[in-house]
Amino acid sequence: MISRRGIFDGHSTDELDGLLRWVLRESVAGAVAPSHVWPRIRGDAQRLAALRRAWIWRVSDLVRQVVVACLSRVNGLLPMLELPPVQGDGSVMLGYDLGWVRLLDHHRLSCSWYARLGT
Amino acid sequence: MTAQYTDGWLVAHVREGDLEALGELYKRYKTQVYRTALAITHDERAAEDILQDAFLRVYTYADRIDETVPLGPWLYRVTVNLSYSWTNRVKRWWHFFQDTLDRWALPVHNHPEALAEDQEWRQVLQQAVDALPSTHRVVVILHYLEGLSLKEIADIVNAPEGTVKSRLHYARESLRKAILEREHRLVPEVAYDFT
Repeated sequence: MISRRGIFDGHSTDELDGLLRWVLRESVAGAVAPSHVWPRIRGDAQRLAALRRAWIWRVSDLVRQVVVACLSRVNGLLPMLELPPVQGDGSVMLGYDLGWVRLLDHHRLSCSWYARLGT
Repeated sequence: MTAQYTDGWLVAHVREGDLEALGELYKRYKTQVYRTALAITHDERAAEDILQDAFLRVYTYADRIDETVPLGPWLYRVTVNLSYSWTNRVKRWWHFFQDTLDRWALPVHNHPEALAEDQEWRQVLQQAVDALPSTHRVVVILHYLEGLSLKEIADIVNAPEGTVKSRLHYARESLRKAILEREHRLVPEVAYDFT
């Protein structure tokens, strides 16, 4: 505890430092982060992650549609493609990846076939 | 998850969406973040929101955090910025209104003398700290409450070390002035006690 006498005498820098420290510590004395904050952070982080996955899914789906449309115009590949199931969560990403591999394989094969025809 | 992992290791895991790593960082820094926010805003609800927001930012921007250094300064910077925003947004008049209500609801004379005097002193000094410009107040809080060095504070508030030093000096002078004013008011009472 800081005495009044100490405060009245002199006002040295050390005393003022001590006073500032005392006032600020008193202002937050016993302050502890409430226990309900962490579950809120965790819940929000999970929601953010789900939104992020959904966004990635939408973008990749859009890109896939554009590529499929382009390829179908070039060499009529569309009927050969097996389209992946349409779902909204991140778990379908692997399915899409496989779809992409198939799509690119078909395209490469057909290109090489056309190339052979040309020779 | 134990405390042996560095902040950088945990941040790298947070980037991959690891909520346990985020939880460990939360355990390490929650008190500092909450206390700093509370000291700046004087509002428990605001401090809670700032605490929540600060750690959501760790999660959202984990890929932008430098994992080679401790997370503390980054978190302090976020906390200070969020607290600034809150202070600017949630008008000062509200605090003034609340303080006035508190003073009416709990008259100082109802307390034992020593306690009342202690509280009065605290109020005088706290008002002197609160009256500081927010940029100065933050420096004072980081230095005196959190015990950070001038260099650390300079990094957090993005100002030269000299500026931080002068803000502390200004804060001390304000406090000195508040004490002198209080003494001035106290002198007649003291004289009366001894007659």
